[in-house]
Amino acid sequence: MIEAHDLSYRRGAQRVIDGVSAAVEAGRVTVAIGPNGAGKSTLLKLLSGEIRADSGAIRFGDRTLGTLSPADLARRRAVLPQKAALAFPFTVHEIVRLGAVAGGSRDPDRIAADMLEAVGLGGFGGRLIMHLSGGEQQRVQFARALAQVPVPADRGEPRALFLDEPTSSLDLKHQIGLLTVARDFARRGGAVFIVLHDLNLAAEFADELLLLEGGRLFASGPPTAALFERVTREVYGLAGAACRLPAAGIPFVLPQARTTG
Amino acid sequence: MTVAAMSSRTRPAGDRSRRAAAVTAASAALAVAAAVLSLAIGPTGVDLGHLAAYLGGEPIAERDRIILEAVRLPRMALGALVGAGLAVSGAMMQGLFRNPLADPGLVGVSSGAATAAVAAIVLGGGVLAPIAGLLGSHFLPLAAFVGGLANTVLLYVMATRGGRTSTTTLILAGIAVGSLAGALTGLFIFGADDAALRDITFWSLGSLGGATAVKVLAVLPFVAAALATIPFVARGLDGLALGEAEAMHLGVSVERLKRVVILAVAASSGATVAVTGAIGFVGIVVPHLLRLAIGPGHRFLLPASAFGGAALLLLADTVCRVVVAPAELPIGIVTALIGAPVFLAILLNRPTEDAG
Repeated sequence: MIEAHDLSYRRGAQRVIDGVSAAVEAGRVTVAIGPNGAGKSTLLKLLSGEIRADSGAIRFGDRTLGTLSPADLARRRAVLPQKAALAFPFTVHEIVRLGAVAGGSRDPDRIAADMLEAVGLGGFGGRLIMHLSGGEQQRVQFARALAQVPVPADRGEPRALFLDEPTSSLDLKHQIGLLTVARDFARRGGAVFIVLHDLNLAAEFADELLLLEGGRLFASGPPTAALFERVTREVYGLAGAACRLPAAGIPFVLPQARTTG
Repeated sequence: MTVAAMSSRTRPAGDRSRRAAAVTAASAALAVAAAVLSLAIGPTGVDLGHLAAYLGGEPIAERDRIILEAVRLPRMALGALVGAGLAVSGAMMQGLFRNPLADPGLVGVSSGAATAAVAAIVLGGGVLAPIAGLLGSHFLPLAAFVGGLANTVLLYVMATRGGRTSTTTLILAGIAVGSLAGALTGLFIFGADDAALRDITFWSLGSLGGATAVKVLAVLPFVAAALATIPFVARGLDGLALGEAEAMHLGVSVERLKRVVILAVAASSGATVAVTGAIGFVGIVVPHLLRLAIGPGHRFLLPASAFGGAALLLLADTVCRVVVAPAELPIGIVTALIGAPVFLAILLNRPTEDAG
C-alpha cells in the first residue's frame, strides 16, 4: 500500500534517514525496530506524511504522497504519536470524536463509542482526559486513531495505521491488547506500521520487520530466530540467545549483558 | 432495534454539545439584555417604555431621541463590537498557542498599538501635525491599528522558519518586541508635554467614551471579518489542542490555520485597541469562564465568546457610567479589577507542566 524508494532525510548535517527503501503492505503488520536514534520514528513521520523527505519518493496507494493534502491524508491514514500533550480539558468522548470527524465519519458519536469499547474504555467517555492515568490516556489516543480509520479497507482501498512506540506506557496486558487490535486491523485489510523497542513483542506481532541502524535499513524480512540472533549481536552488540518458544514457535530473545562467549 | 433507536436519541457520555448550544444561546440573550440595559441606563435615564417605542419606530420625545441616537446607540454598538472582538481574539490566540493564558497582548498587537498611539499623541502636536490635522479624529485610531498590525506581522515573520511557526519562538519574540515597544513608549512619554501626558493616561486606561457612528463603522469591518473566520478555524483549533503534528494528522492545514487566526486576531484586537484604548482581560476572562461551562471545543467556544464578550463589556461600561456620574470611570479599570483575579486563579490552578 505504501512504498518508499531511496528515502533520505537530514537534520542539520546528520543523515537521520539514509537511502531507505521499504514497503508497508495492506493486510500485514510491519514493525520497525532498531537502537535509539536509528531513525525509526523519523521513518514513521516520513511515511505518514508528517515531514517531507529531502530525496526519494513515497507512493501512497495510487498517489504520490506529496500530492495528498492533509485532509486527503486524514481519510487514508491515522497516526498514534509517541506522546500527546493536551492543551485543554476535553472529555474522552470529545477526543475520540475528533478522530472520527477527521476520518469523514457520518456518525462520529457512534464510531467514538465503538472505538472506546474496542480499547477497553467503554465507560470512560464522560471523563476528562487529564484525569486518566498515562496508560489510559495512551489508549484514548489509540481509540482516536482507530476512529479516524474505522474501516480498514473500503472497496479494495486500504487505510493505514501508524503507531509510534504505542506500548511504552502500557502494562503487559494492555500492550498485548493494543497490538492485537492493531493486528486485527491488518487482518481486515488495513496496513499497519509500528515502531517498537521490545524485540519479543515485535517477534510475536510482526509479519515483516524493518531493522534500522544509523538511518540505514540494516535488514528486513519476516521475524525468524536467525534474524533476531544476528540483530542482537550485530546491531545491539549483545550476546543474543534467540530461541523458539516450544508452544507457539515464536522467536524469543533473551539478551545477555556481555558479548563474551 | 430498541438499543439502536435509544442510542441515536441519547447523547453519549462526555458529549457536551447540547449544553454548549444552550450556553451559547444564553450568552446571546445576555448580550441582548446588556445592550438594552446600556441604552436605558445612564446619567440621564431613558424610560423603558420610550426605549421600546423608539426601537419599534414610533416617535418619542426629542430629548430621548437625541440621547439615544447621538450617545447611547453608538456607545452600545461600539461596546458590543469591542467586547466581541476582544473575547474572540483572546479565545483564538489561546487555541493557537495552546495556552489558556495567551492573549492578543502577548504577541504584541496591544503593545504595538499602544506605542503607535502614544507616538501619535506626542508627535501629532509637533512634526506630524499636518497629517494629524488632515485625519482629524481618525488619526489616533489609525496609528494604533497600523502599529498593532505591523508588530504582529513582524513577529510572525520573525517566528516563522521554513513555513512553520514555532509557538515558543513567537511568544519569546512577543516578549522581546513588547519590551522594545514599551521602551519606545517610554521615550515618547519622556518627551511629551502636559497636555499630551493627560491624553496618554486617559487613552491607556481605555474607554468607550466618545463613541460615534464613525468609530463604530471604523471597527465594524475588522471585527466582522474576524467573526466570519469562526466556522473555518473552529475544527482546526480543536485539532491543534492535541498538538501541531496531531492536528496535521487529523487533516488540518496547520500553517494556513495559523495565518488565518493571526490575521483575524490582529484585525479585531488591533482595531478595537485603536478606538477604545487598552481594555485588558476581556480576552482571558470570557473564554476561561465559558470553557469551564461548556468545555474547550471551539465550535461553540468562539461564538459564545463573542456574545459573552459583548455582554461583559456592555455591563462593565454601564457600571462605569453610573457609579461616579456625572463623571465616568475608565472601563479598563473595571475589566482589570474583574480580570486580574481570574488570570491569577488560572495561573495558580494550572497543572505543573511537563518539560517540552
